[in-house]
Amino acid sequence: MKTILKSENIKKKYGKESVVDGISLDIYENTFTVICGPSGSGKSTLLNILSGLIRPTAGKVWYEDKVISDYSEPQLADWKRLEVGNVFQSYMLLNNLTVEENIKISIAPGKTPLSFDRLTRMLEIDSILDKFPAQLSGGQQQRVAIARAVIKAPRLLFCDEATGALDEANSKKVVELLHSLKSAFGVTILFTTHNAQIAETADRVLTIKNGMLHKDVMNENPISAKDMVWG
Amino acid sequence: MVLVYKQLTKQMIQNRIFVLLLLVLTMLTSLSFYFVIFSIDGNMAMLNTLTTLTENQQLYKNALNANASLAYTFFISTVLLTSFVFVMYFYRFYRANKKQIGCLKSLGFKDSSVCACFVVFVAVLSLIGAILGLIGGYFLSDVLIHANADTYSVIGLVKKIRLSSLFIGLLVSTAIFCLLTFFCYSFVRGKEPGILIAGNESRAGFSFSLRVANRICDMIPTKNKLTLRIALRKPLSIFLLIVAVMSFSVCMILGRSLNISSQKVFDSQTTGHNYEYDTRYSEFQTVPTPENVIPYLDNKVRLFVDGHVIEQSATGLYTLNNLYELQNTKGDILSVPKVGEVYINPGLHEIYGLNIGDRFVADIAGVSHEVTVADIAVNAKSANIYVNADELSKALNVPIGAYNGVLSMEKLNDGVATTKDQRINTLNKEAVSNNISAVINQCIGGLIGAILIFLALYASFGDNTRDMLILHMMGYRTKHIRKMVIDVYMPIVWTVFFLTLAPSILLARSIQKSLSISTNDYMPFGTSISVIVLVFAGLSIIYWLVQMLFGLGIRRIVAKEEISEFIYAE
Repeated sequence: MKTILKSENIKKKYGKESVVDGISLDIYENTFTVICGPSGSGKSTLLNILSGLIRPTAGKVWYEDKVISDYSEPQLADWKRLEVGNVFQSYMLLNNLTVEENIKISIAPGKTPLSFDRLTRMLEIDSILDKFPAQLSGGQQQRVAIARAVIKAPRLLFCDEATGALDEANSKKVVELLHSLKSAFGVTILFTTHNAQIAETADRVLTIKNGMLHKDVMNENPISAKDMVWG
Repeated sequence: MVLVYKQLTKQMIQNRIFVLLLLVLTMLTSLSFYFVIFSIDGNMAMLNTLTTLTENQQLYKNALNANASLAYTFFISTVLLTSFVFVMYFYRFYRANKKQIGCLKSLGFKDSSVCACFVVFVAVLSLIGAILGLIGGYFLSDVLIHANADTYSVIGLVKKIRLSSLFIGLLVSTAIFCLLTFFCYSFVRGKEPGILIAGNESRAGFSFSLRVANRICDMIPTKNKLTLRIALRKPLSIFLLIVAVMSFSVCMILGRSLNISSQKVFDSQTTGHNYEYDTRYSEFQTVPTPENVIPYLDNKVRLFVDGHVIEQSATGLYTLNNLYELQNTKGDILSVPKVGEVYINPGLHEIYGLNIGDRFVADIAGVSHEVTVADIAVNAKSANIYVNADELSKALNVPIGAYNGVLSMEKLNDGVATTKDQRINTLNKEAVSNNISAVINQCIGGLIGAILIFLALYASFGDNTRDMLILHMMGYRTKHIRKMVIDVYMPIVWTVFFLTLAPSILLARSIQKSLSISTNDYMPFGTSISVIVLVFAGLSIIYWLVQMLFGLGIRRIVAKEEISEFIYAE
């Protein structure tokens, strides 16, 4: 498997408190990797460092053969714009733009986006394109957020507790969609969650504890998202 | 309850810039009032005790009356503007903190208790502001007192204030702001804690305002519609910008117009007034006058125009020559008015709307006469109308040819003469007084307008913080974010400026007209391209200042990695 993203002994400290403490790992292309761990374990901070949202205090993050942790602010912005999609628990949609505009604002210049119609149909949001975020349910908002993250055909998709605010049915739908997107568009997905069932659908599960990589398990027989049983 | 006060006070002062500006505005409200009132109250009381006033004292008293009227007009305007900012502050505060308020209500605190915290906070804030303004006004009033002493050559001027004035400046404004705070609480009053905590009670209203803004967006042909849509779909921000830009324009145009009016009045009282002496007689004279003089009849007259009773002087002219060349608006030299006709001064035309051909009733010596406006004399003496002398002498029951005033180049032996120098000196004194008022208005108006525009832009940019951070997370560069979310306000400010320019001029004109009526002192309205350029430049400077401050703020948030805090705070 080809490594697309790599961290090398990355650390993150807030004052004296160490949140991420020397994590080294490789993320393989076109895989669905779940990062799990208890609250405060540092999984979201790790995800944010890998996605370039925050910089590590020490260590390096590689994207293929480039050290993105050393990138200047504009370089990092360009990398995020072209190669990365983010999905958050709280959706983070622009309230004053319609669904269609929220998705299209993410399209990077000079890069061929995915088919808008195909994507919106696939995410079942093609009938709400003229609506504003405040008019949508949580599940709909999250699917719009996924569409926004994916439309630009990113190579990496980072999902931070993307189902944390959703009910069972919507959560299942989102996980299913992410797997479909992985298969359809070859996206590499990193997904933080507390949910053990979602972890069972992943190709690989990383467990973080006290800011350190506690377990790294390749899932030989991932279950289908449809077969997830909510506890 | 102490803890509730502590919690809410901390929440309120979290937006330090807004709270600081509110304090500055409450201070300016009382400063603009006390600055003038300290120079008026004591001296007006002293003048009122005098049975007879010298010419200078009378001029000084007129100036004090005009200044008092301006002070109250300005006080009301600044209270209104500050009230607007208070409403803006609380609207934003309740929108941002409804979860916290819902939480307090869920703990069992009543609306009345929570509302009382806000009222007490505002009472303390505005009282501090008012006291600071009182202190500042006390010291600053020295400037006005010295200027008045120099201008009117009056001595023994004092700095005093009446109890009622003290009460108005300190307590009336505070009471108004507290009352406003009480009413502003209706943004959250009566709402269930659960709804406030969920924060989704206004979905229908939200989508309606967005729908309206969306329609407007669709009508605007623009290359980069998306950027404009982000801005235009915040109707409150746009509304605030319109109010702020218009207030700033009105304050600046009005201040400058008051300044220009002094010069206009001076010009109108000197152009065509070529005589050296204006001699007045206490009794009507029938002795023939020398050649090359202009004898005239002068008498008080009351005009009845559209429900207004206006006190003026009627000047009956027997002849006109190069000593006094009455001119109309086209610059034509006017001849003696015909029987039944009058020439009016520009004040009657501009303030009361009298035009050529209009008829109105003039009460001369208790008898009503219906007269027709034959022309507008731009260089008429202030508060004068010109009538046919034969007609006026009949009305006054004096022989035709009688006079009680003479304009001449040579000094006459009898009567009380006012020389040209004296006349110009008096005009200069009045101009200085008007200029002082204009400068006060311009400075305070400009400052308050600037604060308002600063707040409106600051609020608009603040509303966009979330959008900016989301765009940053999506990989937009800082300069692109700035272009999309901040720079778009510049053309909006300019567009609002140009769209509201005409209404602002009309509003400033009508305010000045009201001032003229209330002070019974004609202040001609005037503006120019340079004033408009000045307002435009002022707006642009304030815009750049806020833009710079906000740009730094965003960079700080991004640099400090507050993004992750922001993500989890949502």
